[in-house]
Amino acid sequence: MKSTLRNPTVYMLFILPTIMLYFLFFIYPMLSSVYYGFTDWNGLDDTSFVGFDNFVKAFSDANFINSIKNNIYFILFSVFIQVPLIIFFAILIGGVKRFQGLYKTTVFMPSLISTAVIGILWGFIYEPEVGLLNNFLSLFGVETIYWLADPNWALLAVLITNAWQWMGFFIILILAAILAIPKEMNEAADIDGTTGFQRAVYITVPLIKPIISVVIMLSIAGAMKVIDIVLVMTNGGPIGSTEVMASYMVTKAIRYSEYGYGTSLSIIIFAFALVLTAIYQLVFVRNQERVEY
Amino acid sequence: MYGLPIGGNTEGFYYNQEMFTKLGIKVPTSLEELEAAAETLKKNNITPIAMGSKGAWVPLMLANTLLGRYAGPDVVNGFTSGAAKWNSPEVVAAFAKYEEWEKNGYFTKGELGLEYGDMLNQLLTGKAGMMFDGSWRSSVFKDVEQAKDLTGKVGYFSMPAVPGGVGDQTYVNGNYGNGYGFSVDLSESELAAVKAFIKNLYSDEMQLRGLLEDGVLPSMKLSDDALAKVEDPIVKTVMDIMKNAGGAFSHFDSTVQSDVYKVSEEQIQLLIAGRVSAQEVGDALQKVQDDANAKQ
Repeated sequence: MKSTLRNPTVYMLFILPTIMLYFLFFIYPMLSSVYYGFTDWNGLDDTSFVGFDNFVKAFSDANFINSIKNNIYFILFSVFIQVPLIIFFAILIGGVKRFQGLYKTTVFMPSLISTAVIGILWGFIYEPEVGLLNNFLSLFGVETIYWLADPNWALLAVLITNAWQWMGFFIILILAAILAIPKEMNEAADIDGTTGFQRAVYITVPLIKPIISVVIMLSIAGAMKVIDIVLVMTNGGPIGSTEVMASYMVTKAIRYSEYGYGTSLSIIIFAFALVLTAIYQLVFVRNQERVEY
Repeated sequence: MYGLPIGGNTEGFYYNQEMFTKLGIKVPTSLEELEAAAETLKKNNITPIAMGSKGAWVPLMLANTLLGRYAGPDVVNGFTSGAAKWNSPEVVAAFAKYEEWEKNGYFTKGELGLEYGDMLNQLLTGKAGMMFDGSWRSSVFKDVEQAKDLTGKVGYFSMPAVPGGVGDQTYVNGNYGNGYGFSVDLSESELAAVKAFIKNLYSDEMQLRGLLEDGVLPSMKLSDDALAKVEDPIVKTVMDIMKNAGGAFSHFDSTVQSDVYKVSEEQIQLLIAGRVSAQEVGDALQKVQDDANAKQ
């Protein structure tokens, strides 16, 4: 037994099945999709190698450029609107004395619901004639807004829904960091006569900077690969106003059977996400000082 | 390989008979009457034509029928050979009519966010007076479960003739899309089975069953005896219209290359959103048509 456990081949044998499955379902599909990205495969006919044609086509495809633009809106919305709101609510909940558990559970709830359910739920809220939102707005004399049918409003409607779904999850992340800050710091500041706002800006936020940075990075990555909420709510429409890179890839590959082109789009999305998060890491995270209490 | 269509369909306007009677609208037989009917409905705060344009194929049904009226029944067969041009005045006239109806507010507001199924609900709930849809929908209106109060109170008429339209204006939009394929390379016993199958399926009896139960239009001429068994008023109307039609033209989605069809889906939605004009739709389609034709 002892000698068996010292034998590296035995270890190899134990991990071999897992490695094989990993290769079969992860490494192999990944490599083959890189290959198909350079072909004109349509799922049926003979496939030929077309070099960088698909990639050249992607960057001259007005619809794909439009979807990149919408992804950028997703990123900007999550970094500049969602993240500040997340911090605000986390500090708020961190400050309450009673029913904190209730608030925590409540804000976390949306991220537990399936996206399909959320899409349909918000579809009811956005319903133009009897929906909750338009009913509320009509109290102020706002005329009927066709939220998901009007190209000017559809993206905002999806952005709000997406934010609603994921903010709770990030609030809990930040809340954990806030609750880990030693009480003495806030007590000392309190004795010095600071206001709640001053404590938030000068004590809490600087101390939770590393976790904020993680939340921003996760938001960027999430915004780059967003797709499910778009497919459920608008399927990229109306007239492409909510089309994101991933949903455009699905449309091209699955609906129009342009698998080669669709695969090359997926490679582009992967490259974008990699580059953006790498830039973010290099520029912001590296320059950060370690926080010690 | 051989192919045989199992049955077909045509497209036209369904309308709420009660509402038409109440508002004193008679079934339109000309374009002016159709537009007058739409105006009357609009004045009474009813959507004239129910539409769900989230899936572009839905508005394209109406666009294709207008195409057959304004540019002639043969136009859909001419795009791939170059005999017909998308940006010719006749084709653009069809899109211009669509654009005009759009601007006049004849279609459901917020249609770009509505599914195909939603437009039926608009007609059934009395929010809309008419709906442009395929003959396959007729069975809904005899089913109390689905049609509720409107059961048996929905009529059907085909797109009226348009002034200045090219070709025979009685032609209808007719599609024989679904069917069976049979391999040429068969053994003797297989061939016998295929022959028996065809004989069985393409009989008065089976074709009539499809028509009566599912509203699938027969893919062969039925005997008068068989036709006399049709009781559903909508199916009867459809069969009458088909009988008196000069012929049928198919949908351009079955004649043009898939690249062209994809662009037509984009363009019709842009037209609905008011982002492009009818002429721009024609130009964009001709551009991709030229590219597709050059590839062949």
